[in-house]
Amino acid sequence: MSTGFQWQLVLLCWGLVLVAIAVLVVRSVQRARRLSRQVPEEQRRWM
Amino acid sequence: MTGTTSSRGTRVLGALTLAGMAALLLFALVLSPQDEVQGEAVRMLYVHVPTAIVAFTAFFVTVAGSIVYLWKRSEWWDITAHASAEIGAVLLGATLVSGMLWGRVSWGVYWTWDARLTTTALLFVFVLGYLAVRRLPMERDRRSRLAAVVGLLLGPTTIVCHYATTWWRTLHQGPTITRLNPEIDGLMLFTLMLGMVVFALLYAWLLIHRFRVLWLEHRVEDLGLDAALAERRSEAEDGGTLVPSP
Repeated sequence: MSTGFQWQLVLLCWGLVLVAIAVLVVRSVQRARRLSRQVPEEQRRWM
Repeated sequence: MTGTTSSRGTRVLGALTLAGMAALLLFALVLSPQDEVQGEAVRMLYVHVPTAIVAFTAFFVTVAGSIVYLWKRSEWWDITAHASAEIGAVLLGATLVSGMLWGRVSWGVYWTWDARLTTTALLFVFVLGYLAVRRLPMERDRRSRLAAVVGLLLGPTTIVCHYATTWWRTLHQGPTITRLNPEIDGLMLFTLMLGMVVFALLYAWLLIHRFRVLWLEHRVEDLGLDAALAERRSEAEDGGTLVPSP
């Protein structure tokens, strides 16, 4: 198997994993912002 | 900070995770050598193994959370179990994808019904099922109880998946780093260990944030329920004045 093809799969693998993690992080932040507006501050004690 | 789920501790943890991920990318893609047999494809090892091990850990946290929830009815453990399963699902998905790409180089195929691959796919289906139960439109306590029972299934499935390469003859490589004398180059072993630490930090950071998001969801649900009850009471009181009793 050629080195170029191996590198393509390696970069695709890392790229997909990092994108999946980034999506989870961004969606969590967006959801946190939306929910925080609906919950009184005393119920968000970690702030 | 308002409007977020971050705190001082999570910001430090997040910064450490980001720095660690940058270092891991440097070691995995640049500094570590290629393998004599697998060539450059070995660089997928540094994402495949850490995501698998951290996903398994996440499922054990879900099992522990489910047991404590069934025993004590603790909302804290219920949310911990749920948050951990969400992260475990993403990491196991990453394990499957990286494994398929690696398999294309090592075995010439993206997928084969090998014992390890099959049990991993089964585990992935189980965790998706668990997350589907979490979305069932029913009263929260009933849903949490049902999810906790389903969550218990993740324990034996994870154990079978982990030992699949030992119990059955498989194409998948058996344990390498758990041996007392691992047959792996020093820099490769260091990069792999760095990967474990970085993905463990990522899991911890995500667990805290997902926990807080789910906690907020519960509070919004409670507030919605309170508002609905108040509305019904108000309607009943209005009805009492408008409709004279016989």
